[in-house]
This record gives sequence, C-alpha cells and structure tokens, in this order.
Amino acid sequence: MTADILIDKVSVKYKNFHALDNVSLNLDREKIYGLIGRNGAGKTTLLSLLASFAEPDEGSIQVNGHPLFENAELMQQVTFVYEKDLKEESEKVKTYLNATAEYKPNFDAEYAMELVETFNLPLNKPVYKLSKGMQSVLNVVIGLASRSPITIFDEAYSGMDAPTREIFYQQLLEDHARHPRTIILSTHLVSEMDYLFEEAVILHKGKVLLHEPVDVVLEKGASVTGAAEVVDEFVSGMNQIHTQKLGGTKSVMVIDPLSEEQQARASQSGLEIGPVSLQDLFIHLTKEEGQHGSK
Amino acid sequence: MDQSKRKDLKIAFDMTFMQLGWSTWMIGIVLLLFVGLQVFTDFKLVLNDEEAAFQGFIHFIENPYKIFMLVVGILSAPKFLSWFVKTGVTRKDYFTGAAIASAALSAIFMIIALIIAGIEQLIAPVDFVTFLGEGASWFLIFIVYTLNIFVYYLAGWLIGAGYYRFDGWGLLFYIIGALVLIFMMDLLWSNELETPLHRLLSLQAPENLSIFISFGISFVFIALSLWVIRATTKRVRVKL
Repeated sequence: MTADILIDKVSVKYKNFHALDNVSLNLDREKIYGLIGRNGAGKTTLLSLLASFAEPDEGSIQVNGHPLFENAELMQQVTFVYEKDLKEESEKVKTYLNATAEYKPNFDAEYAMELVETFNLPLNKPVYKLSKGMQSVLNVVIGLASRSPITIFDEAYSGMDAPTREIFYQQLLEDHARHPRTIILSTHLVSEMDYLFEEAVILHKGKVLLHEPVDVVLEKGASVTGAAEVVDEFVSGMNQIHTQKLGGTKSVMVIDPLSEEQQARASQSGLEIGPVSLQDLFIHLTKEEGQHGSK
Repeated sequence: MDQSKRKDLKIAFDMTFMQLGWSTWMIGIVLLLFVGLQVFTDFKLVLNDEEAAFQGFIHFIENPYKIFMLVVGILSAPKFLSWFVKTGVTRKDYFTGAAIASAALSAIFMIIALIIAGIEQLIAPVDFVTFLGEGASWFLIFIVYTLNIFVYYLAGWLIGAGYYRFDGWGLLFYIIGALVLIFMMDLLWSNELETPLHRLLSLQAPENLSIFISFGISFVFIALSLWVIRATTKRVRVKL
C-alpha cells in the first residue's frame, strides 16, 4: 500500500493560540518531504494530526480518499517517530521492539536486527537505562523497520551524535530506495538534511509558507561569489538575503532568479554562481521584523 | 497488507497476559502470607467469630485482587490507550480489547482463587462461608466475585480516563463516579456496609435482595460505566 495525503484547510487552536491556521497540503506517495519550520511553527501539531493523536478543530485530513482519524486500516499504516520519553519503559529493548512489531503490519524484523547491529543498540538493556542518544536510535530503528507507507520523523535525531545521524540519513535513503514510501522529515537543522528532501514544506506561525520541489526552491535564488567590488556591483538592486566576506572575497545570497544574460555577465566578470541554500532561504523567509534586520 | 485491520481481540489477548504477568507477584505474595498466617497464627485470636467464618482464601485475596484491578484500571488510559494509539491502533479497538481483557482477567483471578480454595479444602477443610450465605454454589461465588473484581477495574479505568481527558477536574468528577459505582456494588452484593458514606446517608443493606435484582442493577451500572469510559476516550487527544 502507498499513501496520498490530502490535508484540507486544517486549523488547530490551543486556547487563543492558532497552532495551525488553515493549512492545506497535498503530499504525494513515495516522496521524501522536508517539513521545515522554526520552534513553535506548528510542525509537531501537524504531524501529530497525521498520526491520529488528535483531530483537527477545523478542516479534514484524508489518506487515499478516506478520512484518517480512527480509521483502523489507515492508522496502522502510519508510524510517527518523535522524541518520545522512554524513561518509564522498564522492558528490555528487545521486548519493546517485539511488542511494537506485533502491531505494525509491514514490520521487517530482519531489517530491524540489521539496524540494531549497525547502530550498536544493546538489545538486553532495559529501555529506560539507554542514553538519550540510544533512545533516539531505538525510536529511529522502529521508524525505519516498520516500513509504514507513511513514516514521520519529527526531530528524531535529537540526542544522536553526528556519526550516528549520518548512519540514520544513509539508512533512510537506502531503505527508501528499496521500499519507496512517503517519508516526512521534520527539522530545524536544515543544512544537514536538505540533500534528503525531494520536496520542501516551510511552515511558519501555523501557515504553509512554501511547498515546492527542492530543485525548484533552489532556483529561486543564487549565491554570487567573487571579488568584493565586482560582487557588490553585480548584486546591486537585487534582493539580498545573506552576505559573507572573507578578505577580499565576498559571497552574497540573492533570491531573484538570474536570467541567462545575467549569468553570462557574471561568468565574464569572473564571478562564481551557485545555488541558494535551503537553510538561507528558510532563515530569510521566516525571519521576524526587527529580529535579523528588516525584510 | 497481510494483517487483519481488526485488532481488538489481539489487544484483549496481549493485555490479559501482560496484566496476568504483573499479578503473579501479587498473587504469590498473598498466597505466602495466607499460608504463613494459617501455619503460625490462629485466626480466631485475631478475628472475632463472625469474621473467622470468612477465613477462606477467596475472602483473603478478595481485597488484594480489587486493589490490583483498581491500580491497573487507573493505568489503562494513560499507559495502554496512549501506547496503542501511538502504535497505530484505534481508540475503539483499544477500548474493546481492554474491556474484554479486564473481564477475562477478573475471571482468571477467580479461577486461580477457586483452585487454591479447593486445595485448601482438601488440606484443611473449613466451614466455608461467603457473604452469599451458607451453601452458595461455587458457580455463583465465581460469578459474583468475578463481577465485583471487574467493577474495580472499571472504577480505576473511569478515574484514569477522566484524568487523561480533563486533567484535575476530570479526576475530581470521575473519582466521584467511581465511588458511586463501588458503593452501589457494595450495596447490591455485600451485607457489611460500614463505610462512612453509608453511615452518612444512613443506607441500609436491603435484606434478602433478590439475586436477579442485584445482577440486573449491576449490569446497568457496568454498562453505564463502560459507556462513560468510551465517550470520554472516543476522540481523546493522545499526549506526546
């Protein structure tokens, strides 16, 4: 089974606070999505709706054309991995994994054991005795091995060290290639994970700011690098979002798409044109007035 | 997809055995205590004659069973509901599964108690009397005790569900509901009504209450409690 997700005009309110405000999204099957947003943007609220932890106050969520909430068929197809507090789980890691596997129709126990070995997860230790990093690993192992048609990782890497995160990213890509499914990766550490995403969704203050394939997003702007004066002259009048200077060399990020004529002129002047980074775009799009200078 | 989407029976099976596993400690300790008291003390020194008539194992383990069920019932919503929904099971399947599991567990508890009581009778026969009166059939004892133990699970489940859904106020109101349920069961099934509430309301245990009325009213209260629990947890937000 694969899954198309249709989120239609969804709002969630906590007292007077709009956690999600009229969010509409269409997530096609078998893609890897990056859900990007600052703290409090509504990422976890949105994802917990997809996992049927709660119902939206307004709007609807459908998977393959059927309402999702309390739908037994669809709920078992979703795995939501987040920073789960496992401090009260006294079972051994192995028992915990097996118990979860029992309720996941596509769980691959062999792959789970492979992952356990790759991540050096101790099977006979009680879950609550695992370090924070290892608890994240356990959650991620469940997320990957469940092979759910909708798999969600919400800041799942927290507590993992950099090499462990790299293994996770690598396993994710490899397993997605073997068993294509909809994967949603939510993060605010964009620069480290952007190469994983096929499509990016930027959520800001409960609203969808952007939802586009990553290559389209990256064409929205460019980085211009070269001798400081030449760069300054080239980018004058353009919408600049980030500047870096090192000695006489300057790199400016602009979010105007460059015309062919501009690109030709740049290479004539010895300037290097590169893509804009998702991280810079994210920071630019979600910055508050007065926080990092005016927009 | 190779698994049935219906999970309630599987949940019932898993929960029954998990909770039974937890209870082995409790049953073991109670049994040791019971045997120890039998061997080393004379009940008649501790209890008066009337109470001594109730000295059988079934009576001895009744309260530990009830306390166990109350505690496990309280955990039901925050621990089991939360875990199952997070694992991709519907609230409905959890509810059906947990209800079946708690009824099954009550029955298994009584089977265990009856077996031990039977062995007790073989070793050291006592004049076994329950509140159902002398000469009550073992089957009736089994049914009535099972029902009473089950109700303690429901009481706990009500409290846990109320707190999980409505926090502090839920706790307050659902505890009152649970107490009403337990007092009603006492009123219907027990002839010892010595709680402060009973005295306060000057409730009298009806004499010779027909067993059919007792069963009838019990089932109404059980059904009502289950309905309240289901309504409370039907669409409840599961905490992260």
